[in-house]
Amino acid sequence: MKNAVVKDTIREITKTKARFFSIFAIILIGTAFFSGISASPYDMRYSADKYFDDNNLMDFKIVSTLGITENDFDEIKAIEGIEDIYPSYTKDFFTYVDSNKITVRVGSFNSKNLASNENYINQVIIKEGRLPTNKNEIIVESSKLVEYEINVGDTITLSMFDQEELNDTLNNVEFEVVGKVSTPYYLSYQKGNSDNGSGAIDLYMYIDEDNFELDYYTEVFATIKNSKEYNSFNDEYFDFLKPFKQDLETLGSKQSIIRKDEIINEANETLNEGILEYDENLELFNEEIKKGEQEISDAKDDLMLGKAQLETNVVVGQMQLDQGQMQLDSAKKQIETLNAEYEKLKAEFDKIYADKEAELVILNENLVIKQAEISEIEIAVANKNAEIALQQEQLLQLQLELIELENQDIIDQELINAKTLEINKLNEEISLNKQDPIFDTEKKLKIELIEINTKISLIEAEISYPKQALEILKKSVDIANVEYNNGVNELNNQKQLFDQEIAKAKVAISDGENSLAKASVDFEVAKIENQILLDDALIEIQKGQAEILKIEDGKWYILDRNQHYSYVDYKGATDRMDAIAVVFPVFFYLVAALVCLTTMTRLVDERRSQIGTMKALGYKNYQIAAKYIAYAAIASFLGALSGLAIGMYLFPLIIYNAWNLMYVLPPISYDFLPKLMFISLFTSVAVTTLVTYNVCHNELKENPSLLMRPKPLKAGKKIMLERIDFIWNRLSFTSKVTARNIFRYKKRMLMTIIGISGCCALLIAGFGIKDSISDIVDIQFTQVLNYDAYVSFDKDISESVREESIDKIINLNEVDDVMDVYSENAKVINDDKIIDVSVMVASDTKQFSQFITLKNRVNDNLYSLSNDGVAISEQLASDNKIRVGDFIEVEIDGITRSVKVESIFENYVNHYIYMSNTYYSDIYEVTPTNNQLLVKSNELDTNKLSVKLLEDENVESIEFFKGFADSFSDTIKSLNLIVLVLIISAGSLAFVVLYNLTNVNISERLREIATLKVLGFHDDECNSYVYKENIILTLMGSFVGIFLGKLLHLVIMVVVELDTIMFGRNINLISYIMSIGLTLFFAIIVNRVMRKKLRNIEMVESLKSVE
Amino acid sequence: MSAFIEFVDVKKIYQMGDVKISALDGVDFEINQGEFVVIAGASGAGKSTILNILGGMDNSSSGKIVVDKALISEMSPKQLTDYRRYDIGFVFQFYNLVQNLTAKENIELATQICKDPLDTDATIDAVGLQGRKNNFPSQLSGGEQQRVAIARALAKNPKLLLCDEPTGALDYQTGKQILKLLQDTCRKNNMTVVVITHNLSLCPMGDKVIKVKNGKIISIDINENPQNIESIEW
Repeated sequence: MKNAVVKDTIREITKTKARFFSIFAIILIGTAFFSGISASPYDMRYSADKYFDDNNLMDFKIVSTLGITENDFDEIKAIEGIEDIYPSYTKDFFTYVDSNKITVRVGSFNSKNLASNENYINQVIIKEGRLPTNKNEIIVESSKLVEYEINVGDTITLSMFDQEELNDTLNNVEFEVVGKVSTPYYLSYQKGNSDNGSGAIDLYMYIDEDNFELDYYTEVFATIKNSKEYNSFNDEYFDFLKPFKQDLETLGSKQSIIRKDEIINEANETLNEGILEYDENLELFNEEIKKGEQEISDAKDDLMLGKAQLETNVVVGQMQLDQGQMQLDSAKKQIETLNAEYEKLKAEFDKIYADKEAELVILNENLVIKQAEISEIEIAVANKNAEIALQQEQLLQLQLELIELENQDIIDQELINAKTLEINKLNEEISLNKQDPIFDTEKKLKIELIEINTKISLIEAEISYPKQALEILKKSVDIANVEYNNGVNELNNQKQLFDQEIAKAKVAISDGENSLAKASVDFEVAKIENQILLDDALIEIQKGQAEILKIEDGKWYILDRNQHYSYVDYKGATDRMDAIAVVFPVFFYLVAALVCLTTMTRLVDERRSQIGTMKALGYKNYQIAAKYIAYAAIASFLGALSGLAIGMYLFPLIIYNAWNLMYVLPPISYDFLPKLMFISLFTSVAVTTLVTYNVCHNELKENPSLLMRPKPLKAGKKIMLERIDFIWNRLSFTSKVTARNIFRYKKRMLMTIIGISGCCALLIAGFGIKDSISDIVDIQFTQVLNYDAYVSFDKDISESVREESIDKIINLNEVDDVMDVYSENAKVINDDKIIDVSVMVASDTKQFSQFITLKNRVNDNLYSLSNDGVAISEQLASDNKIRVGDFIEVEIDGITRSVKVESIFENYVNHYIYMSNTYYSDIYEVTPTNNQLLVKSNELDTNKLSVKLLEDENVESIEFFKGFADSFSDTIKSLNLIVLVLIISAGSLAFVVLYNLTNVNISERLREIATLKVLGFHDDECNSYVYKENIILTLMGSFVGIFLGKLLHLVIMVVVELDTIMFGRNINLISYIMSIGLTLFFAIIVNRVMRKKLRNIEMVESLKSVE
Repeated sequence: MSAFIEFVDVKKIYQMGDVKISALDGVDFEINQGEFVVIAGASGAGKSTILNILGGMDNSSSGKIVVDKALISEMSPKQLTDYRRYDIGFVFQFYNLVQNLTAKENIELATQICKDPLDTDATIDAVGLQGRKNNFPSQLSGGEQQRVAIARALAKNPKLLLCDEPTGALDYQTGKQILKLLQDTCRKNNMTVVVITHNLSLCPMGDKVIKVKNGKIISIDINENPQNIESIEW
């Protein structure tokens, strides 16, 4: 018997492949969706945990208010169960990439111990380049989502707002990028907020720890032995870590006290040093005062002494001068005596030698005359001598000529004679000349001269001695006179000198008096000044003492992964996936149940007489039902198995990769999830068997005789539409039949509408996700924020310089318009939650509306800034349940005030609060100082504009929105994959549902169709008889799908949304059209496939008897 | 003048695996316009095959079939559809009404695809269903349903009315009424009517009676004086 049932079941399956396939396929899709989506969060957690384990993510991060010392490390290591620790520094800086100022979190990296400590905590994975090997190198975050382009080889300069703090923190600020890395310590694009007040952290980086100048490590990471055996997303992990956390906390409170004492001791030491220094200084001060006073009194004494000296000098000098005068006077007298003696002697001399003198004068006169005569005669003598010499020469010449003549061969006697005559004549002349009287005159004159000379000499000898004596006397008189005159001059000089010196001395003394007076004043001033310094020092010392008393107990914070931003962020994402995993499967199982219901109902209907026969033969109900239940169970079991295999592979892969648009994680690792697999399998089989059981049960209730008769066909009924005559009368008969058929089989209608609406909803959600995410960039940066960039100026420049720079910027060709605003990072305090927001205060509310559009997203109402409250961005409002009219606490620049929410506007990226100058001044009681310039530009090339703007040295940074927009468009490309998966899912859903519907309808209307064919209906008329129904149901399903899709889209968007980015809620019209179009396309494909089946219906079917 | 319907050596062979089954083995007959013809034979004799081929629902394997000068045996499926659509009225054993359409709508279903249909209401009146034209088939008795079916066939204004065991699913009295309706239609409208039955007692009412056995015509009798259906008892 059993064999017969099995055989019958197998035959049933092979005979009704299409129906079997319907159940198989819908269960496959349903299970694939359920298991796939449900498994996704598990696989996400499993993959992340594996990533954590592989790269040794810390179990604990220990930070202390008083810093952690080497001694603490040893104590931590000593705790039982601690596997390893890794001390590190972490600080936030900012740096510039191109012209953008970005906030970076810089961690330390121990490159020296790397070789010996390969398993260090929070490992980095090199994506490009290498790890740093020295302190001038840096590794930076490698991320798909980062909009800043940093390449290996670039140079990065770190800075802080406070230069002094920077110097205290780092000993080196310039680094070369040598690698790009990822690390499980930072998973997401969002890395939390910086603690230096500059908003969100844009990038993380690592440098060698030798660069840090800090006294102690800012944190210590610790791992616990065996903790990797637990999945850190499960409670078991935290349960396992609990005792270690307690141990660490205990140690913390102990070490904190030690650390406090240490710090107090250190402080006391410093203080004591200070006191000592003070004492020393005090002593030094007193000494100096004493010394100074002494010096002043000494100077006074010296001055007095100088004055006395001067007076003495004056007296002595005058005395010396007087003495000199006296000496001169006596010298003069002596001269006069001498002169008188000389005069007497001269007179005597003159009397005696007067004749002699006169004679001498005459002699001398004669001498002169004689000498003149001699000179005259000498000239004549010389002329005579010359004449003679000339004649003698001629003679010699003649004698030579004679000799020549005599020696000639032919002697010319005549000539010789003439010559000889001539020679003789000449000899005569010569001798005549030699006897000339002139020579005698000369001799006589010379003798007379000698006579005169002798006379002169005699006289001169006679007067020479007395003359000599007289002259000597005269000389002594002259000398005495010269000496006297010299003496007079000298005395006068001395007198002058003396006067000068006295004057000088007097000036010196008065100078001395002046400087003494000044020195006294200086001294007094210095004394007071130093006194003040000393007093200040004393106050400092007292303050120091007070501060030491105030040093609080240190506290250790033992942070586990639940307090680690990236972990919590990712965990949140997986939790949201869990939420999605609930929505989808319910829907798919509903469709699966309906498909199974219609299919099995038809199958059982067709086998009605067989069932009746078996019942009549004495088979028990369960035995009869077993066949159909087995049929459904086999189909669903096989479908579920295939669905599990496909779904658990495919969906987690796609979903995981989709999330990885926002998170940096390695490729997926699949978790083994037997529980989920069992539940999927069990649910699938249970749904189908229960439905089948129910169908069989309804049928088997009837008694065999009734069952063996044909089941009365469901009666035709008037439908609502018929009451509307003018529509109904216009319908063709096929339309009328279609309309009635649709309402005749409500189960099928429900199945088709739900299935098709699901298909359409999936498509709408798929396209919508793309619309919403891709549009936010466009909406945010072209519709909400109408400006292109904002410029920050150097903080230290004056208001007027700033104005000048702004004027320059306005005048650039590339710049259309600018608006000067006050912009500040602020905090909204909502209960115990603190949200970072950007506050912007504008003075010109009209201009403001040209730069930023404040619009209600739902009803498109425009807002403007009012003086009665603030405008806040939508996500800020919705996340914190803030409504218009509420008051919220906003902290701006350290001042917290309660502000009224006037409007909530459409905004997608970041949280903003806008307010007018007036409102800000009213509430915060501070006048805002503008610090940011919003720029509208017509220049598309941001680099070009950036260069232009940066030409002004007062411009500190420019931030463009374009970079953000570009990085986002890459993300959107990856979304196509998700859309494709949804299209495939939707397509298969539509196909299965429509295939099943058509299949059931055709099998049920075989007879009608055959009859229509006999009546002469053409193929297309027969087709439309069946397919009109499909198309109408598809349209109805699509219509329902629009609403369902919108809802699904909304749910998905809210679930995947990030903290500071609100995705759009919009779905473009084209997406609706495409979704409905695709749904209809699927319906048409099914119709095409089934058309052949219709064509093959034999007309003879119409002649068969009704079963 | 040739006959209105001509069957010349028509054969129909079904291939069932290796076995050839001859459903019609050389059938020849003629039917004139306006004749009421009864084709009678036991189950499996081949009468339904004749009807199928004559009605354009099936093709013959060989032979020539002419209906009103048209060569049916050479028609393409498309032409056959038009032939059924415009020339043939068909009355089924199980009425084959569309359950979702009222009596009137069932008739209109046929007339809407015809070139020159008869008035629907008049046809309904003619078959005696004045009061029930807006009822669904399930609300009608078997006889009434068959009347609707006949009305549907007649309303098309066909050249030929083919009836496949029109009384097979009806009780005696109702069957008689239906046959009367068919006979009256034939007489009044000069309609050619072919009725297929296994009930030999209906033979006297036909102008022509064709008896079939094992795929062959065993006799063609022409009744000079066909009897009215009222006078026939079975």
